[in-house]
Amino acid sequence: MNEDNGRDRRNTMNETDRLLREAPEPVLGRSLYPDVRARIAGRRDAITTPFRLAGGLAMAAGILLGVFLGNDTPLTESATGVFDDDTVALLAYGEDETLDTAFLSSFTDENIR
Amino acid sequence: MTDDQRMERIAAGDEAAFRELVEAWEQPVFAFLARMLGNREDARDLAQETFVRVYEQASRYSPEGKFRSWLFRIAGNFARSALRRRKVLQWVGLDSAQNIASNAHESPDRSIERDERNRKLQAALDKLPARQKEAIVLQRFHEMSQNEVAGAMGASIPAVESLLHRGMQALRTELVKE
Repeated sequence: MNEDNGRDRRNTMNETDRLLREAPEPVLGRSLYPDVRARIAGRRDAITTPFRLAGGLAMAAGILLGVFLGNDTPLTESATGVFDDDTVALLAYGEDETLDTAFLSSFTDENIR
Repeated sequence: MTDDQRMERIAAGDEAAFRELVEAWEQPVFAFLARMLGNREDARDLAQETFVRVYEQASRYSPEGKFRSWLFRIAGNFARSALRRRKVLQWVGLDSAQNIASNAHESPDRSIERDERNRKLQAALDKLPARQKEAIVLQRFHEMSQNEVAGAMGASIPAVESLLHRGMQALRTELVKE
């Protein structure tokens, strides 16, 4: 009985060793290199894109903030894009002034002297 | 050029050295992962990840002539993570075991017989705990010494001896059942 058990065990061991020894190696086929390169390039883009996006957003926010803080005069004309000389004079010096008259009136007696 | 020299050149940005390294090691890494995972597509995917990691870690690699152990350690970590994920997916019923596809260039008769033996072996291997399977695959299929297996698995030599011993016993038991 014990001899039978021992023989069975040896047979199983031999069979296992044979299967391990004779098992064919899984074959890769085409090279991995192009896909590996593509993954590395993809990772780089994935890392830099958020930084670029964040940089762009920060810049846009900065511009908007600058416009908002710098805009302390009501520029209703800016909506229509009308910024001729008269408008500038009106905003700078008030009613009934053109840019030329405003320029001339800025020369007070004191300036001339 | 040795692998250590290649790694130094890769760390310095030498693309040709990286290509050489991938082409020299892609087959054994793929074969190791295919045996660990029992699936060619997953093996291909994780072999690519392994080489991406090699590239990323090139500057941290210390050239001590143990490149193979280092490389298989990376691949082994990926394999064990994938097996853990698969266990969870199987548990929730989203994944099913797949066998390694046969070599398409063989004659049908030989291929069927070989497939059957290989299927039997792979099924038995897949039933082993991941670390026992890893130790057996590295020693038997990649002809690594116990010392090298220990390096590749981040384990002591006695631990590897134990994994191999228990693994082979379990494999024999599984093969009898198959």
